[in-house]
Amino acid sequence: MRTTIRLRPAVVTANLAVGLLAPVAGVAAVAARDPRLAMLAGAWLLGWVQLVGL
Amino acid sequence: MAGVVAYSLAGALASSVVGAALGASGGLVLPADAGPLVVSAAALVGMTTVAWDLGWIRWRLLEPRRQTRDIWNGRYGWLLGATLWGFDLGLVVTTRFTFAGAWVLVSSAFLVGDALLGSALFLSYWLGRAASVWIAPLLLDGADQTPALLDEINDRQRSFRSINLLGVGLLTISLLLFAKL
Repeated sequence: MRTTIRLRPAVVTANLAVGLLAPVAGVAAVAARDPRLAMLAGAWLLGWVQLVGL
Repeated sequence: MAGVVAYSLAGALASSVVGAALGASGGLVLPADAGPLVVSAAALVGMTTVAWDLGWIRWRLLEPRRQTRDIWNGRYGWLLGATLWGFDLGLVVTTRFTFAGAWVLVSSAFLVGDALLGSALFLSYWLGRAASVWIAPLLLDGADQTPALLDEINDRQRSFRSINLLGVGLLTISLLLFAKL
């Protein structure tokens, strides 16, 4: 039987904001022709999404 | 809290070393005018990874067949256990990949041919990965809800797969731009 979890809405929103920060920063860096910063943002995002492997 | 700090620092150390080693190896192996080679390799790895994560390639993902040892906490205590766990996961290439995107990270660190940038790439990856360990406890009302949270996460695999593809695309495109500099 599944347990219902109680997530704190403000923290969920903050977590999503942190997660979305990387692609936004990455696209901005690509637009600014700074590929090193964009690469770091891409790597950060790949790490962040690994949370399914906690 | 000390366990989370130890976990994060150990992983950061391991990631920095592996990334630097890959970057330095690339610098030694790749020719000076490797631009076209880097572009071709980055595009190939990026496209293959996307195909793999979308399920278009039926072969099993090439990845390590082991996971971190959950007995470490019992054997060495929670602090050393967390440190070993962070170090092991921070190595990236010694444990199973959640997505094929890890290959893009590994190949990128090698293809940039620079120890410092390779290290920074792996460190950035680790900071993103370790962030969940800092944030997850804040999400829940109690530690007993962790298994339920993991179930919720697993139910949202498609969303995470999409985010992974976004990361793969971002890293691949920026590597292509970097190689053309």
